Amino acid sequence: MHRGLANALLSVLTAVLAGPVLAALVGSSPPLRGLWNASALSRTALSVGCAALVASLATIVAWPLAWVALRVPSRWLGLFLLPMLLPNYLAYAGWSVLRDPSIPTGDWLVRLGSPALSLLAGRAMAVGGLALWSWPLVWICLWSGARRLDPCLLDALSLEGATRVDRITLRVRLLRRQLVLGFVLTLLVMLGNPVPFDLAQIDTLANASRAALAMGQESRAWSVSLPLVGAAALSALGATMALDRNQGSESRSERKLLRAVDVLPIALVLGISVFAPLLLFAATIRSSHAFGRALAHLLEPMGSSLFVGAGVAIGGVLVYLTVFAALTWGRGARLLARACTAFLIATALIPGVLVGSSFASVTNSPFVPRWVADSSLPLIVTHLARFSVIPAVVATLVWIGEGSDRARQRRLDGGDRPRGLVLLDVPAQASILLGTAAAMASLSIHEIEASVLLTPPGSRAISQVLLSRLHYQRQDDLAAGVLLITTVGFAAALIAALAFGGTLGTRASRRP
Amino acid sequence: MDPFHHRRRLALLLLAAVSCLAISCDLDSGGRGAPLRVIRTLGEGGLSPGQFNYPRAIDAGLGSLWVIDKSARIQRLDPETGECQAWFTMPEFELGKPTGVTIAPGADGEPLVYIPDTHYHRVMVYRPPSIGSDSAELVSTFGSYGQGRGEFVYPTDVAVLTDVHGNATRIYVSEYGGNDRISVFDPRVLQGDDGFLFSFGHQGDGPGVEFDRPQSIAISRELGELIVCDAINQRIGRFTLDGDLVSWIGPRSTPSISLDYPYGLLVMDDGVALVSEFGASRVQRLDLRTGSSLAIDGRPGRGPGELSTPWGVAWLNGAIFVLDSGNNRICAFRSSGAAGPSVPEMR
Repeated sequence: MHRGLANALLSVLTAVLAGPVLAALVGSSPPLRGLWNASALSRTALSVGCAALVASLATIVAWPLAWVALRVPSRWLGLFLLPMLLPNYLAYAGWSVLRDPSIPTGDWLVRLGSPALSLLAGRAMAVGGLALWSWPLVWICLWSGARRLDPCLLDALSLEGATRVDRITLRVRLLRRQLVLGFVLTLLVMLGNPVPFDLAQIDTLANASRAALAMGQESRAWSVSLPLVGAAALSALGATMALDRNQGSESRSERKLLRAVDVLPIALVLGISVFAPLLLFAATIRSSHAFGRALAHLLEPMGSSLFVGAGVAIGGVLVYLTVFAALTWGRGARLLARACTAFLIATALIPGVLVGSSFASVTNSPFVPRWVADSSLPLIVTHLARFSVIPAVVATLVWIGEGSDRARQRRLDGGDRPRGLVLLDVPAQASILLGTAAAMASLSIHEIEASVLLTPPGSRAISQVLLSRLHYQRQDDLAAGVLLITTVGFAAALIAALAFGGTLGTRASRRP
Repeated sequence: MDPFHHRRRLALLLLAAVSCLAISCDLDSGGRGAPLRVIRTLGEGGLSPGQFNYPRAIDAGLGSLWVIDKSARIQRLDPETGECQAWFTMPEFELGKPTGVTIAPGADGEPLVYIPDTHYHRVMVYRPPSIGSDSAELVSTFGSYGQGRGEFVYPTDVAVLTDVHGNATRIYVSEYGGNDRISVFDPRVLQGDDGFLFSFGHQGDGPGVEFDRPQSIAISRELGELIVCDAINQRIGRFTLDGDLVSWIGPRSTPSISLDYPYGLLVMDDGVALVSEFGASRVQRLDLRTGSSLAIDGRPGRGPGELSTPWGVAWLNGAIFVLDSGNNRICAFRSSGAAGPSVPEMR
């Protein structure tokens, strides 16, 4: 019966979170004929090129950190995820403060008298900023592979007098699968990410889709995004197949001590990724009164966004528990759980504007009561559709990491029943649940692509309030607002990072 | 004991506190006024003539509406049907598109289209395209990047002072981006001469002649003043035509008034100003003499009579046209008691 319950919950979950997106795709009947003209192909090439550039830079940043992280105490590992838990539009907006004519660098750039150079500078900031935002994606792939390597193998190279190039070459060869995985994952995330590229006026597929939606052309929006949808679907299938219990986990020696020289690259990268954009914003603040004014303007939007974030956090935990329960309760439910995870991976990779548009269509349909449409519920569900991949994948990874012995023990303890889930697994996985909740809340607070389409004008969603003014205004009270909001998101991100980090380290150390 | 027990407890407490704070601030847009009593709606989203891609500037003149959107098109529209009568495109727009347009006479009274080319730090002046045309003749360009006399950072709007014969005598240009001031030119600038007369204002939020994004300016013939939408400072300024401050209208000077990023400005000849508020998605009528709010029309939304980030407002043939930018349309509605714009429409 509990397996039936798991199946039912998963079915409802998939229908609610992925159904509207599928329905919108099918219902919009996107025309295929426009896919192969010169303009569309050029835009596709530009999108892939920019995304690949971001992924390449992110890989370069992540590579040394993956090795350094092997020496970092487990409870601090989650800090490596911090950049991704902050708003991605800060990746461009913060750095582009340097282009503001009221700042010496911006003034110098304009006085060069070359619009092309000015554009290039903006685009470079978008690409660089996104690389600094997304490198944790590559890092987590590389680190998970690096920690499984036998350090004796690498030590032997040193003893045999291998050159630095030899050692690097071997490491690349050993981690080639993780390198490709991290690169492709980052590329896919970048393909569906319109905001920074839009601010930098790079005409990508996601931007064209967003522009079409802004003009009410839903069919065209889906048509333009078909390559992205296809990539999302294929990636979802591939990722789901890659999440295989039979991967096993290999042993690893004791963690080596963190050296002072290891702290420098971590501090440098985290500093540039997280703190540098915020410092640039702070540099534009002329008066401390700006914080008071910003607080007055943003208190209500912040509260609304926190409310939605709290709902998303709770929903994320429920998704986690549902997927985990299904994976542990039986084979049939397990297959359904993996199918659900595949759908969630796909909706995560599809441009957020299309996800938002899909749910907006459902919300505005006649059979949805007005009081529901005007509430926070549609926004919460939309954010869950975008980000539930995290709890679903984390639940899957935790299940894989358990091993068969622990699974057998679970059944003996009654953990394969709903009561057991609540009494045994929830306390045991409290750190993971907390990390999941905080990560979901953090992402929700800063989510903008879907929110812009779903929330009505005049809404008090904080990301919408900021972005509607961010592009045009660099006033000190707006910069103060960004800092205030980022502090809130930072707090949630820190909770998530510490909670996940503790869990990552605990799980690593439990292995024989 | 689980080493993470205390940390989890603390984090859970923090999360609970944040949730309580959040729940206490429920999602509520607030300040929803009555919808506009719309006579007709013009345009829709799109890139075809008569359609808009986030329009940000509007003016009325020569019996038509003039709209600039984020596809860098200047469209001349029939105010009754919304049909595109003529259009042309800005010569450069990769860095950004204009945020203002003004139909006003030149030195000899000839009607001209003044476009503050915001991201190119200049004002471009065209001869209005005739109906059916898809191009316009460039008459003049003035301004360049800088902080000096006659230079601009981000020009936003143009207002033209005319004499009794309808000939331009002064050209006012507002700008932001560090300068945040109003520059005044002689119409000789249209012939390529220096033309710079003086400028007033600087960036700030104080009670004096300080601006933070003066987004729109207009001349009130009734009052003999220049009216300025000081958008970021959430106030409307009254200045003499020589740049002396008369008074500020806004929450700081009149607490009963609220303004939320006033972007668009239309000055009527009964001393009333219509202000479109980008932040509040509404149109507010203000009595410039007393500084009081007379009416608020519109509310945020996408339905009939609702607005989304309106950038501008214009008057033509007895109707008010508000540029409903976020909804890619223009809404025409009747204004009660309004006698017409302060600067008569160019015919």
